[in-house]
Amino acid sequence: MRVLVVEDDPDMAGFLRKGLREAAYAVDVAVDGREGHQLACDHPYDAIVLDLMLPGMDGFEVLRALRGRGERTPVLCLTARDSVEDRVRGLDLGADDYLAKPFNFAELLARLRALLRRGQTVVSNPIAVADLTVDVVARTAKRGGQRLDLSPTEFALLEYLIRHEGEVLSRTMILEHVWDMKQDPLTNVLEVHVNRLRKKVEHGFDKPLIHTIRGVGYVLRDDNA
Amino acid sequence: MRRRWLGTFRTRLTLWSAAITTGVCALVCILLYVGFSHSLLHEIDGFLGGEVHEMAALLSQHANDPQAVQGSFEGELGARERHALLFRLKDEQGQVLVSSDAAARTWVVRMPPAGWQVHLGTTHFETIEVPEFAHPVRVCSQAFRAADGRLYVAEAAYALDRMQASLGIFRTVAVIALFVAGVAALLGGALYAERSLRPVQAIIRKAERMGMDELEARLPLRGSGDELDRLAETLNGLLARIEGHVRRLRQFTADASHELRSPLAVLRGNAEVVLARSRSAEELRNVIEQSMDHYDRLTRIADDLLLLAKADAGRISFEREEVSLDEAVRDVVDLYGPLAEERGIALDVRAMEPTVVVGDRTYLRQLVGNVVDNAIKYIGGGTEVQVSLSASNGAAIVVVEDDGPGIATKHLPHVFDRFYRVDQARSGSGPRGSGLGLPICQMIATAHGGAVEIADRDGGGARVTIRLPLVAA
Repeated sequence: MRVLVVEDDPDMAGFLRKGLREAAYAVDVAVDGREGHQLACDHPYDAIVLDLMLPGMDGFEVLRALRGRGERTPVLCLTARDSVEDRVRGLDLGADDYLAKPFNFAELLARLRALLRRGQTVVSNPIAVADLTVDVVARTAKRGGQRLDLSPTEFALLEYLIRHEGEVLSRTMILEHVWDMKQDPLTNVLEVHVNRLRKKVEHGFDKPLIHTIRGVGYVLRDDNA
Repeated sequence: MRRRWLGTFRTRLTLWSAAITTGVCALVCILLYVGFSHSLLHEIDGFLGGEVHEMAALLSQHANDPQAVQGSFEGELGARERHALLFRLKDEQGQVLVSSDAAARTWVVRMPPAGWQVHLGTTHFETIEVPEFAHPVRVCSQAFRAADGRLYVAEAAYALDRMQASLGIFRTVAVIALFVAGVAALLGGALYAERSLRPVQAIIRKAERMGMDELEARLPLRGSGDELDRLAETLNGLLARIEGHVRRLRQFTADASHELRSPLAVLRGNAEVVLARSRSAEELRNVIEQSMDHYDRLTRIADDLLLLAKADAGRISFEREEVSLDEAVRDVVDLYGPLAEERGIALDVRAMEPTVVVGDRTYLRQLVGNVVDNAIKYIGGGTEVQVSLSASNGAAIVVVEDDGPGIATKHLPHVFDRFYRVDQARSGSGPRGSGLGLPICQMIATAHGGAVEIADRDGGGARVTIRLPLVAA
């Protein structure tokens, strides 16, 4: 997957390049709107991460120019301005998603994956990771053939984690998807939930599946796979 | 004067008062003039009427012989020369029988429409132009039937030169008087405007010197209690409110900087210590992991500040959809239940009524979440938090009570102040919020037409009450 990052702040561009390369993307960085537009015209990218506030040709203009040429590459907009007007304007101009700075890198990866996945088939049911099986239709979970006794909340948490198997999910993303809460309360409220779920999923089994990425979030994956 | 002279209030006040005074004077002069000219004309008409009667009498004295009247006329004329009086006597056909002089033959009186016959005995007055005279002439005509049964018309005329001269003098005097009155009104108006606007000038001068460095400065009051004093008082009230806002803003900025400084100091300190020596990958990892909490906190403070700043500027657009409050409360309790349990706190729902309010789902959840979060965070040695949701008097009421230490009375008025902390010494230990949680709760509740109150619970502990208007059934 080849991603173009259009970002004028060298620090921000630097960590985006590093983080995305480590997530196995091929990354090109453009430092202003004109260069970004040129690169996007010359190469077929799988996705574009576009800062809206750029010197010279700003992100809105780049977006308009690209969409004007019939370019359908998914575009994820970044901006420090967390304003509804900017968001609406960006989406109107054909942006596919939007992320306000500062953001969690895990969230950027998740959104980028969602954009790249768009149009592809959804995961099958039940979903299995190692010996854990989750039936999202029947709303049951089994580990090693043994049925797990989960509360609805625990099941929702497990479902969200397993649907994004192998992806690091930030606390904010989990709170937003499972509890519909926009803000991280900065208490260890989520940690307690994950620990409970972990106890039920991993108790009596050797292999840990739910991993804590300290300071970032959680991931469900089979380390030996 | 830096401003345009014509545009000033003083100039306008002066001009208006002068214009009105002068206008009233002019109106009085015109009325006087009209009255005066009428009375002059009336006097002349009376005099001419008398002369005409006299002519009729003379004619009958001289046995109705018009020629015999001539002598008497001329005698009369001699006596009245100074008055420029003219006579003539006509017969029924308008033929001039006798006249005082040649001029008297040429003037033309407009014949009354139905002829003299009809107007027998009445006097008819008319002002006409006679070529021989420079001034108009007033004519009085009267038809009468003599003793011989014939109809005669006697006419007397008087030149209006004297009357016009008198009116001319009147006009001149009036114009001079008007001019004097105008100038006097202008000067008086200017003086009056200057005097009445002097306090305004004082206010302007004082206000021009006021700056942000002397917030406590106020406008001078004269103690007269008039409109200008009230204006100054009103402005002083405004200044007091601005002073309050600016002080709070300064305090807020200082507090915000302080709040940002402490995590920054910790981050920098940690990094410096780590960099001082070579460290193992494991050590480096630990430090970076520890930093994440501080980064989150910094981000959170920045987010909260931005949110409050946007709310202050009225730039948050809240959704207006129907929100099930019981669902929000249940989700919040579901989220915090395990945490409370782990800390040995019983988080119970005491009462729950299905309740629908109109507003922004996300912000309303945040509101309830913040309050429950606070209750668990600051419960001290307490062991239970009770949440209830009820509806009464058109309001949804969420009550969150705990049996912790409660809030000391001296802190109660400040708990909604930004960055206010009940326990200043708390800063070091445990997870902390941004210090903006309750102000944000209040902002959200207010934006939804509701309110948040904090009070002591009966029997110790704190009680937070959220009131939100219910959807009209």
